[in-house]
Amino acid sequence: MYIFKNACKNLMRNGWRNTLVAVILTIMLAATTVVLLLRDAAGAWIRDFQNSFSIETTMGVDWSYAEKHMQTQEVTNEDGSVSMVSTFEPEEVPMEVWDKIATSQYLKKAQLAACTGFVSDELQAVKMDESLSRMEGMTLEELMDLFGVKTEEELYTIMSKKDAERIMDFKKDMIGQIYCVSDPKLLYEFANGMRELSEGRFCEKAGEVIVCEEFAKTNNLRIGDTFTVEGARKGDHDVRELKLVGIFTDHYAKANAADVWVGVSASDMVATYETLSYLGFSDVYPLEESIHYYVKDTDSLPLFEEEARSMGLPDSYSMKYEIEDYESIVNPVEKMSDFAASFGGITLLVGTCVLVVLMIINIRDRKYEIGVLRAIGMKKSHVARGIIYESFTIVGFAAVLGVLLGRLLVKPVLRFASPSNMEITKFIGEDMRFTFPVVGTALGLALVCGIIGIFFITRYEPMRIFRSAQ
Amino acid sequence: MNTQSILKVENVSYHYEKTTRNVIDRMSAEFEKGKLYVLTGRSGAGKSTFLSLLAGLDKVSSGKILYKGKNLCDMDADAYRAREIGVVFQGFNLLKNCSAVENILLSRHISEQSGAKLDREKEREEVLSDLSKIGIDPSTAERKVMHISGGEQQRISIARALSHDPDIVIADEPTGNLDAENAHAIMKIFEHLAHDKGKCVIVVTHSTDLRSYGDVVMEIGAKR
Repeated sequence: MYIFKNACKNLMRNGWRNTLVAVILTIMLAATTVVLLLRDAAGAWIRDFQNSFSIETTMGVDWSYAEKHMQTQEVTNEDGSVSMVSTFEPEEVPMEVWDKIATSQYLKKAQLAACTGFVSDELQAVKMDESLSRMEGMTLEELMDLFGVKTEEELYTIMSKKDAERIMDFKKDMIGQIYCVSDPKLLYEFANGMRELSEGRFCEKAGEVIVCEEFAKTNNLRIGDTFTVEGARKGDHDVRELKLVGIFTDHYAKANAADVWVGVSASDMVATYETLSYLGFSDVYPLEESIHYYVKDTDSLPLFEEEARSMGLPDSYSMKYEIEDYESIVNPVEKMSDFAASFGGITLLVGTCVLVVLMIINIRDRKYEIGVLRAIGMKKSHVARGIIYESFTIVGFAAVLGVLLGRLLVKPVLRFASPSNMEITKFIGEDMRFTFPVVGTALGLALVCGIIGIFFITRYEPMRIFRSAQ
Repeated sequence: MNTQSILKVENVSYHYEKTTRNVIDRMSAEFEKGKLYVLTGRSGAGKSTFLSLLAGLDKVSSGKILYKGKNLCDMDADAYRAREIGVVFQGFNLLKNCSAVENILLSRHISEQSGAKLDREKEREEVLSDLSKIGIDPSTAERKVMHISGGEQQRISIARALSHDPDIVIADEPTGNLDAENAHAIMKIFEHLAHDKGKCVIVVTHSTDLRSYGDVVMEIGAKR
């Protein structure tokens, strides 16, 4: 016990030197605490961000690919002249492929979207300007008339033969399209305020739909009403019941009547993606621009693309993603975290070097004291124990101060170091897990101090010291 | 007066590391309890070296030093210094940053490793009382050694050597830094320790005046 008491008294006796050592240790341990807390907070922030954020990916026709694979054909004009027309008909990607891609393990979620035409004995379309009449169900002559061409060949330079045949395969009395999307709220028109829910709620289950105010008015529909629909293709005869759960205002259709296209038709309905299977209509048209895949992280992007190709995504389709958004947000935080680690490492390294030098000076200065203690019978092991007690006491004191100081400093440091508008401070851990590595570091430093002490003590024999003093 | 032999030097030689010349050459002597030995000799004769061998601070190159019949080389030198012998060093060798009381308490604590625990407050009072007996008042006793005079430091050094009640007290030039009056006062203390307390006191001095205090006067470096 006297060794410990003497060690404590020695700390006071060599006050200025121990104060210097304590200050250095406190700075080192406070820096370690700050770095650990900061990295922990940054890691938690990134994890949280990754959970809420993903890389939005869309797939569409690769026009540079299309340019390289154009097919050129001769077209005879009305006046008998011949023109060369280059066309590219992209491969159609059926909805099954988009569905399959949505099951990829690299995705956080997927927004699938497709539309299907419908007819109904109970409903009628909103009256539109005749110039905006639907093409679906038109005959070949009507299509040629619509586009002002005389021959089929000319028509097929405007639209593909496949599209024309698809249009002609519709029933004449098609009312509109049912837009089936995974999350209707995220549909472009709703997300950008062109459409706004004015009554009821968004559809959540299969068989629920929302319609435009004009459509509800035309058909005298109220929330909760049910009605039956049928597929718009000539071969579709199954009848399905739908339930109205919400009514929306179509600002875009109102404001831009002249630009109204089928996509914003007043007679269209919006439903969940599950409704597509529920309806089972043969006409399923993937809304490629509205299909979004949310990839988990940047590392998964190439893997996801590879998987999508293996699932049937053709070469003529390219993948587009906003990786810059993800990186521009995550990278500064990662950089800050890495910088903090480097700073902490350098502080620890420099601090340890300074500490070692100080300890060597300290022990050498105390050579005489060690000589006296040995001369009056103190064992080497007891002198060493005294030095170790001193080291551990001072390191323990510095560790407590360092942890407290580090905790105090971490918030202002984080506010200063983290990119603006990022609330990383709220991710600073409240538990004391971080103290374990700090205590570990402190023990390491105490051991360094102790080992230096023991190394020198074992070299100092009292007579040698006294002789050199004489 | 107790005159039993306690320390025996048998044919001891000593040379420093990396040299072959013996500083002490085949020396033999016997020391008894209750006697004051005065060791003299010219400078460099090996007086202090001889004391350091007796104190267990150094090891003989050849020969034997027997403490109560046991060879010092076979004993735990630390325990021997801590309990059996008290050394008054030439330069006092006190802990400068500590007070007189702390110096003496530390020596007592080192010596009582396996002894019974004492009431620390009572022990402190004992130390203060012992110091006052050799002329160190309590206020001086509580001051840091570096702030007190050489004569007082010498007394404290003697008090420390006696703090654990050793059988042997050795002193290397204990009066070297003192005036004649103080030197005689110190020698009186050693005389008292030998004759009244029954200690074996070995004093190295180059002062011819102080030879008269010795029951035995030995000249180091002289032909035996």
